[in-house]
Amino acid sequence: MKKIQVISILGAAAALLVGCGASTPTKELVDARAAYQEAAHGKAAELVPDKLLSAKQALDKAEIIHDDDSGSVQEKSSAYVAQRMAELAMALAGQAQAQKDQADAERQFDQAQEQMRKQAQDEAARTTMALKANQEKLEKVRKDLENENNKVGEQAKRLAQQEADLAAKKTELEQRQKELEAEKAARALAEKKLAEAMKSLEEIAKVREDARGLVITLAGAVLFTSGKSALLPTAKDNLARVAAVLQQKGEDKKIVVEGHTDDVGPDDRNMRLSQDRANAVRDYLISQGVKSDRISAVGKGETTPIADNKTQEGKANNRRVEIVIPK
Amino acid sequence: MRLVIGIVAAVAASMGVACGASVPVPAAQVTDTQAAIRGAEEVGAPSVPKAALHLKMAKDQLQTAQDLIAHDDNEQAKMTLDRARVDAELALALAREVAFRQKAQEALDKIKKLREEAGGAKAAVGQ
Repeated sequence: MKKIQVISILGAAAALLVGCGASTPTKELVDARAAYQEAAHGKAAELVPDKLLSAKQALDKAEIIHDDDSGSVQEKSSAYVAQRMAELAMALAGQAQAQKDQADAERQFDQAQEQMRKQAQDEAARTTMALKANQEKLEKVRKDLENENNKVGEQAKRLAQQEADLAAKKTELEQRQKELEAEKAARALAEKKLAEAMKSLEEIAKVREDARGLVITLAGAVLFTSGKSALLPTAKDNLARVAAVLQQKGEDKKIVVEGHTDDVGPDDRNMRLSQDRANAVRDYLISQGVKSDRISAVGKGETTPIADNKTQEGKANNRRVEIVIPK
Repeated sequence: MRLVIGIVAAVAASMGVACGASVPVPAAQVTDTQAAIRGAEEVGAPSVPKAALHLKMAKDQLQTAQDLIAHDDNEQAKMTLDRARVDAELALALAREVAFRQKAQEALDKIKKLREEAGGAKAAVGQ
């Protein structure tokens, strides 16, 4: 009986022991172990090691209670606490991670903003430079244009001057042409007059060229009465024709009027007569417009006959007045 | 034989003490737990679902602990307060985690927006 009592009492004690620490873990402890495993494999070890350690210590405490007093309220409660502490470690790790992310993002934001600011600055600098270069180009173009304008202005001035010169030259040329034409016309007129005068002269006189020049020979009978030196009334008309030729021809030459006689009578008388007759012709020519300083008179007497004095015809030919216009 | 019974009884009694004996009122623990709950509420735990759940658990367990204290079961109250306290702390941490994640996201959004604006501005310049 006593033995049975002792055994039953020991059994009760054993039962009590089982109640305080058996091998089967409570659901709370299983959850706590799982939560801790999750936390240990997450970021908590890196980010919040102290909190993970606290969770580990809480779990260890729960395990000890489990070993001592398995299935007890204490085990459940401490496992509950251990689970929450593992979850707390994860939440805190999450916080730390979020804070890190935020800091990273903010740093990136600052960097991006700085980069953008720099880019904007560079862009502004480039734009400013481009603008400056453009302005310089523009200024150069403006200067070139101004130079070009000046050149064009100068050229226009020169051109105007040249045009004026040309116009003046043209006017001068025209004037000269007119003068030339007038001169030509005058010359033609003079030549015509001369030809007419010569023609008229050749009707009453012989005109020939010899070594002395142009020689106009007038017969004595045409001009004078025999032995006299006064001009016949008809002679004046004839001498007018000679004057007309002289006016036209050899204006600037020294004209010589030579008187000649035949060999009838004394030489000195013939010489004087020829001189008087030459003087009469000269004077008359002067009266007809021939300038006195270009005309002289010479008496040659019978010294230079042009025909034989033995015949009447020859004598008549030798009685003459020659008007010599030098070459 | 009496002696044996006496020893067994003593062992059993000592074990009974280990499993739940009379302890002082855990007044400081109650205060700490209340403070932890207020802290969680202040950081917005009620508006974060997971945090709100743990906040509720903390509050319920605080109530339970206070009931236990009222019934002189301080041993159970102490354990209950331990649980309430970690729930409150967890609620606070979860609420904060969400807030921090939001801030991080805002910062990321800010960068995204800046880059988009920059891209837009560049495109605009490019044209």
